[in-house]
Amino acid sequence: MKKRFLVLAAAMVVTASVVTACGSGAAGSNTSGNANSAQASQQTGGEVKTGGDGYIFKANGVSLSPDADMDALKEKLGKEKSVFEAPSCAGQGTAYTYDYGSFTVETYPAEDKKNRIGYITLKDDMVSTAEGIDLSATKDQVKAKYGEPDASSSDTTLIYKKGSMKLEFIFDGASMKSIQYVSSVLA
Amino acid sequence: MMKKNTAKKITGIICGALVTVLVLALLQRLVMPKYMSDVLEGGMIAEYYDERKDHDVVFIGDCEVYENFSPKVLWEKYGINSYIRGSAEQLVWQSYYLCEETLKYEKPKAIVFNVLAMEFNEPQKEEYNRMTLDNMKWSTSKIKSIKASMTGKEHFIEYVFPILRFHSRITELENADFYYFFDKPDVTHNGYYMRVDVKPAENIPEPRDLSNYQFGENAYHYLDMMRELCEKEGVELILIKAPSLYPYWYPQWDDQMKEYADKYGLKYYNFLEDIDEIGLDFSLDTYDSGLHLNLSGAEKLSDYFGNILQNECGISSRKDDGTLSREWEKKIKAYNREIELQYSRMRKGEDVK
Repeated sequence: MKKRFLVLAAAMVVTASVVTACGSGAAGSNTSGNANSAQASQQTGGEVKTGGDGYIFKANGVSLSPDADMDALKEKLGKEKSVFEAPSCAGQGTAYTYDYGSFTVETYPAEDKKNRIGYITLKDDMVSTAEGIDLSATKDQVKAKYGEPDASSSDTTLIYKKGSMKLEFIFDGASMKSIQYVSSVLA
Repeated sequence: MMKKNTAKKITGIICGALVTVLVLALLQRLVMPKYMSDVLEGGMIAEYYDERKDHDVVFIGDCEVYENFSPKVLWEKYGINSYIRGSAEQLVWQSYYLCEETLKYEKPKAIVFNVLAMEFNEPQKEEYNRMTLDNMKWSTSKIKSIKASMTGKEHFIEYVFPILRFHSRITELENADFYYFFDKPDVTHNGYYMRVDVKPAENIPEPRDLSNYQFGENAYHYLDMMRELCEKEGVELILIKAPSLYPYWYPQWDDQMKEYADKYGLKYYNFLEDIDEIGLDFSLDTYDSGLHLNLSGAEKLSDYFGNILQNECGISSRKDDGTLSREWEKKIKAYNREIELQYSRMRKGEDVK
């Protein structure tokens, strides 16, 4: 009887150990530091995008790209006109919008807890893409510079995909309204 | 003798199996997030099951319902018994299946659905999926909702046995995991997530142009399903857009909802157009810069909507229902206690929640 009990207890311990020990595997590799909000923060298990493999926007001598860590670039970019904080629902981090006048940078809370760039929006013709296109350009000028747009483009938007981002030129009729660098994480 | 031994062996195996299952079940309960410390929103869906299911109005949707409407005000001022089945970033298909599940329990006079979720056409984040799905009771609605919600990285089996997903929390357990092992107190008031603090709306960014304003087919598909289900069950579906200032609600999106409501004869209220009539002051009535309303904002909006529900939707007062009135007396006491508690925390400089 005692022997049987010991075997049973050993089986329970082994089962529990197997289940818990594999926590260092796939699902556990992205664990949130905070256990309660793990919740599922630990989960998504996808690789974190760090940017730099697509089109780049340069401002104040700083290269900005979707998915780059904004906190590492903020100081070099200089003082923004305003910052808007948007905490995600249910404690999933905070997104920020930094307004630099001619352009804005919107960030998202990445899985690695960094404040990564989601969108860069060029709002006037005081700034241009690294390839020299600004809001005064026509669709033909954009195509002459970047080539044929992606098939997902429409009458109002020319889209160019590169690496893990896309560059969008958004038109209202013949005039360009905005240029956006978009992270594939948010697209 | 041999038969006796075989029977003993079988009994031993069955007992062993049962004990193993029990241990795993207890372990699963231990490692499942309790959502009782900093992220309370994950536990909201479960609270509905303890309610007496006799509501006049059930709200369904994302944070724009559970943070912006107070059922207490709807009861106190209009005698409307309501409940909010809200969860963080609740997607349209999740709202549909919550609606389907709700209608199995009860037949309210109206289902109110907040349309911000129409902007999402596909599954988004497992973290949010879990907050809506893990605490639903098992039913065909839950199964279908899981299947509609899973991102490419998720597995159905991990919803059936959450221990497969959360096992790594065994090394990160907190006091709350033990303290709330058997039972958890409610964190909402009929689904309303209260916040009394104030953070004025400032520097709200200009809306970013979108390359495409058209809501997706999948989102429409589930909205259609919700409309057809409500029609079949004789429940009025009311579409609303809560007056949250951010994320931005584009006029192009609003036009699509107006057109949809017109096409199918639904009521649609965009409260962003009624901010002045409601009396909202975004320097006082929000706790997070205009994303959600605080207590004073939610009470103003609920008062405004209660009047609409009563006078335009024909939902009459049930104040003469003694049992219901007694239930609400208790609920109002708990509501007022939380107000006092949150103000007291605020005075001490602590987080209100």
